[in-house]
Formats: sequence, C-alpha cells, structure tokens
Amino acid sequence: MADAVKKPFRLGWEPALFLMLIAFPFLPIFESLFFTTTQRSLGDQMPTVFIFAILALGLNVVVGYTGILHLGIAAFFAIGAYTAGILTTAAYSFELPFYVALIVGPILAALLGLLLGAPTLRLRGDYLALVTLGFGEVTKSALTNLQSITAGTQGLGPVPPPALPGLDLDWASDYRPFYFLTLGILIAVVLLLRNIESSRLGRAWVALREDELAANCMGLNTAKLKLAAFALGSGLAGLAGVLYATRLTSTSEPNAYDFNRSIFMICCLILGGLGNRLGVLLGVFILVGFDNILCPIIDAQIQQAFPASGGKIYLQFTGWRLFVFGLALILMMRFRPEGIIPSCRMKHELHPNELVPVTVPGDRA
Amino acid sequence: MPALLTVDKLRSGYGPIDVLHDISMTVDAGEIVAMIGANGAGKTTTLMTIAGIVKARAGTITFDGQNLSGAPAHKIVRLGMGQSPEGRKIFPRLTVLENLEMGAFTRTDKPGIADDLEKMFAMFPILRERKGQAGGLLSGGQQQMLAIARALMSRPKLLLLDEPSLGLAPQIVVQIFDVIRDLNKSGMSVLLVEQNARMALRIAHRAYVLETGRVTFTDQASVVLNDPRIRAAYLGE
Repeated sequence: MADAVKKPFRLGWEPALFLMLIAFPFLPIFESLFFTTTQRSLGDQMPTVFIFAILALGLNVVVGYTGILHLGIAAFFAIGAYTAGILTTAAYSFELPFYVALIVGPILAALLGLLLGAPTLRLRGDYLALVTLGFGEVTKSALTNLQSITAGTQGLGPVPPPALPGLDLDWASDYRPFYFLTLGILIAVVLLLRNIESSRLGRAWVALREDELAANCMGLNTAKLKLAAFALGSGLAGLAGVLYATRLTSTSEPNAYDFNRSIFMICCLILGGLGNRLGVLLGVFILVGFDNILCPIIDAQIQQAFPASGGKIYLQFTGWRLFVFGLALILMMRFRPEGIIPSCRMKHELHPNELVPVTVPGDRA
Repeated sequence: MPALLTVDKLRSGYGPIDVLHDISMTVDAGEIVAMIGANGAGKTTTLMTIAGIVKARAGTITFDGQNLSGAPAHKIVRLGMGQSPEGRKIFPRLTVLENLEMGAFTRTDKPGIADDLEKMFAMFPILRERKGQAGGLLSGGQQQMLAIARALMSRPKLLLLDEPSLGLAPQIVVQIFDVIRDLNKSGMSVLLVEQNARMALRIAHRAYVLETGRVTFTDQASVVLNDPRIRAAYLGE
C-alpha cells in the first residue's frame, strides 16, 4: 500500500547531521562565536571526535551487530596508530606517505583480528570477552616493553602530516584540512556500514545475534560470520588508529590504548544506542565532546572565577569528570538501558511488555 | 530405491558422555517417520547429530546419496535438510517476513523465494496478517507455524521437526499436526520427534521408539500404536 502514495521528501537525521558538519567550516561565525565565549577552537577538537566515531562504529560492528562483547578494541586502535608510526616516521627507513599507512594500517589490524578470532571465536559469551580483554592488555604491555620497535613510553613521532601533492595546505595551524579529511573518511565509513547493514551479510549478523542455533539451522556459517565481523571491526579500529597518530603527530604513549579506552568506547555505544549507527555517533559526540571539549572549558571558567584555587584537583572540573561520567551511565542504565537512540530491535528486547509492533526500516508490510 | 536418509550405528554425545549408542534408522522419500521416547532418550540429540550441529562420534549418515560424515550444519542445509529446532527458535526481534526470508538464506533465486513466500502465506494465513510484526510477539502456535514455514523456505527434501507440539494447547496441536499431514500429502518427507506419542503415531507411517540412546522398537506406526507395551509406557494405559 505504501507504494501507491509517494512519500514526501524527508531528510533523515543522519544526512542532516553530516550536512551540518560539512557546513560548519564554511560558516566561520560559529567558530568565532565559540572562540569568544570559551577561548577555544571547536574546529580544532572536531577531528578527534570524528576519529573516535570511526573507532566506535568499528566496535559497533562486533558488539552491536553480532552481540560479541569485545573489551579490547583499543589494541586494534593501537595497531593502526603504531603502523602509521613505523611506516611514516624518521625513526624507520620506510618514511612512506600517510596514504600508504591509511591502507596498510586497517589491513594489518583486520588480519590481526582474524588471527585472534580464528582460534577464540568458538568460545562463548564471557570467555570470549575475557580473551579480548587479555589481548588488549597484552598489546599495551608489548607496546611499552618492545622499546626497540615502539620507543616504549616515548611513542613514535613525529608522524608527518598527510601532505597532498600539488596542494599546499597548512596542517599545523589551520584546522580545516584535518577536519575535512577525518570527516570525509567518517562519511565513507558510515556509507560502507549502511550498505553492509542492508546486505545479506548484515541480515545474517542480525540473525546470528538473535539466535545462534537457529541461524545455524538456517544454513548460516556462524563461525565465518563472526570472523567477518571481527575482521571488519578490527580494520575500522585500525583505520581510526592511523588517523589518531597522524592527528597527534605521534603515536602517543602506550597508555593511550589501555583498558580505559576500550571501556570508554563501549560506554559511547551503550549511551548512544547499541547497534544503531546514529545512536553510536551521538554517544561519541556526547562523551568525547564532554571529555575533550566541555571539561577543559569548564576548567578554564573555574580558573577565571577563582584564580586562587590553583592546583587543587577537587577544585578542577576534570577531577570530577569520571564521577559525572559514572553518574550519567548509572542513570542511563536505570531509566533508558537501550540507549538514547536505540535500534528498534534492541528496544523490543529491553521492553518486551510494550506491545509496539516492530517497524523495521524498509518494512514492506 | 535407496532411502532418503539412512543412519547407521550412529553414536554421539556431549563432553565425556555418550548419549546415543548405535542408532540405526531410515527415512524413505514421501514418508513421515516418528521418533518417540521419554525425556532424555536421545531424540533431540539424534536430530541435532543428523543436522550436523552435534558432531557424530561414530557411524554414518547418508542423505540423498551423500555421506554427511563431518559435514557442518550450514552445508547440510544446502543439501536439502530443513529443520524446525526444539523450542521453535524463531528470531524474536525479526519480523515474521524477515524470519521467513532468513529461512531462504541459502537460496539466491529471487522469483522462487517470492513464490514460496506466497505459498507459506497461503498455507498459514495468520502469518500474512502478522508479517510486519516481530516474531516474538506471536503466540506459541503461530510461532510453531512460523518455524515450520521458515524451515520450508529452504525448499528441503527432508523436514526435521523437533517437538512441534511443545507447550501448545491441544487444539493448536491438532492444527499443527494437520499441517504436517498436508505437507506430507504434497510430497514432503518428514522426520518427526515427539513426546506426544499418540498424535505422532496417528500421522506417521513408521515409528522408532528410543530408550536411553538406543532404538528399542520399530515398526509401522499403526502397529506401534497398538502394541500393548508401548500403550502402557507412552500412551498412559
């Protein structure tokens, strides 16, 4: 019946969000308004948000689509970052351009994902979660201790900017080149995932998440499906890692890829809405925005208001950051466990008594 | 003509424990074969081993002329074995339509799938009415119909049904068994595992009685139904 009447044109939330993000650098009024009120550049912070959005979307492939709890995504993020470090910095003789790292990093991370997944994905539930957690810790320790390869706690640097031949861009002081680079890659990732979600593979992942035995009975190769999700998720995390190191011009220290990073990404997913792309993006925008943009601003305001407060940590908002964060998550779990923008299937699972018929995008009913 | 399914001296189990000891049975094309027995007799394990979900430890399974030894479950589905597992196991958060489409996952012939979807809706009109609803919102009987329809969507040569009467009201059980009988009349071969022995024996051609992992009795279903020992042990007389 829906075919008879043409639907009125409606811009989806996701395209609307990205149009706004694309428009932002062209409307300097917002940037300058933000700067005059907070003494900080918003555009400078946004690439970091985009990079973590890619990381979260990668994690969402594993956790959201197939329901495997992955507690070591930071390891694959680190592998991308250190691949960029090894391939591009002067510490090694490769000194290849950024774009090589952009391709090699995700491939290497995906291969490592396969390598970790192949023997372990037959484990179920908690056991698999422990393996991923362990892998994250092992990777962090390896990065710290393999001094001759990773430069230990110093990290590898400086990672050169992603120079484009024939185009003279100021990567250091102008925020826009990085803004557009990371946003462009994020949009490409979103489009890729959108296609995968509606493909055979995407539907198979949903079935797998719903009931593994039944999926097996329908002729789905569940082991292969889990491996595919693991490889894609790890690859996207590697991609985010390459961008992260390039953005910071250094791989940073191994502690940037610890368990907290993995948990933080899980929190983004849970807050925004597990399994839902837009929800995941929102979760990242809120949490990374809170961490990287809002906290420093509030800190500066407090400094200004109470110049004498000095170094006392309890007088800095950053000191209360984790408290606010924890409180928000507890409230979320109590009142809206499915996330801010849940996937319709997830919502049904958590509120089975509300007899709302599930309407799925592209419903042909 | 060789049987559609031949199971020979099948042994399987979980961990250190063997559940099945030398199970042998056959299903001919066009037959309904019932497997009855008490809780824990090994009925579901037999079905799961035939379907490749539980690995066989010894013995051979031949299906449609092919040896299934060591074949994984997803390959066996492609060879033409459709299954409605114990407890129905529909996808609760997929719509009825999506559940049925998932049943045709191994197929790529779009027009054929659309045809079969129409057939399922003709056979189970309630599924057409509810096609946009989540499978988990259906009643038990409707879920069982969905599970059978979903298994049929792979166009199987043999349909494995594990306890289709489980947890259903007597009236609904009668409906489900009518459906199985009709399916069989249109040519489908069925291997039916049931605790409701009376109902199963009424529609089946032949039956196997399982006790602690062994076949203890097998004959025409009507003979089994009238055997005094079976009547005493499984039909409560």
